[in-house]
Amino acid sequence: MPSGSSLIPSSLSPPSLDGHRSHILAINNDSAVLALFRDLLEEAGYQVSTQTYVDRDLTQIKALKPDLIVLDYMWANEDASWSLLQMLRMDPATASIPIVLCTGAVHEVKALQEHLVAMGVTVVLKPFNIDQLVDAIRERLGADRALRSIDMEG
Amino acid sequence: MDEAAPEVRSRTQHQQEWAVLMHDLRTPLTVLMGRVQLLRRHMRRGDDAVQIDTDLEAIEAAIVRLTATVERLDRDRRS
Repeated sequence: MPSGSSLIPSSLSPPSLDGHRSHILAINNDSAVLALFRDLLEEAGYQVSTQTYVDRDLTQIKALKPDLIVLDYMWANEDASWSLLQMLRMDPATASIPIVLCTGAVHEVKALQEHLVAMGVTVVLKPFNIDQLVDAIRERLGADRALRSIDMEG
Repeated sequence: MDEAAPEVRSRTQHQQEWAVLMHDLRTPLTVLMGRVQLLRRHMRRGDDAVQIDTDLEAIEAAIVRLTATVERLDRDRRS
């Protein structure tokens, strides 16, 4: 049996230590992938929004104010995903939102590794185990909360 | 004006086609992997038939997509 809290039904999943139910925005151009992300992340206790690449301007993302973005990086549509990533990092309203990048483009991501690390992007390679993705999200959200708490204390 | 030599254009076109093919294979494979893991979880937990049916429908749709890609490849190879 897999370890971890992922077997807990979503209705019983704890939102977070401070009672805040984190809001995840999943971005991809494929409805089947978005449906998978929604089911998986809702079960893990998150509030989930989804968006396709068609809406590439940041207006909707700024309005949603997600706690974290899961961006599916597609090598077949490299320009769209890379430019979206850069736009997210350059806009002050979205620059600090943690990003988890899901991709099957292993070689391409290795070539961009330094840029991605500098951008504070966590990479999850596809096809992924669903617990790996949830663990990566929890880790990023935990690190982000710790950082904000240090900022507030400082 | 595109001044690239024909062989460079051909290589670029080949790379783009390969990238699209990889994407067309990886996307349903990702859905398959994720849905099978979710299905196993839902069955162990004794979830209702609707939830299990949702997983099975997504698995079926991913297999249909993969089959279409394989058939397209086969057609391209023969033409």
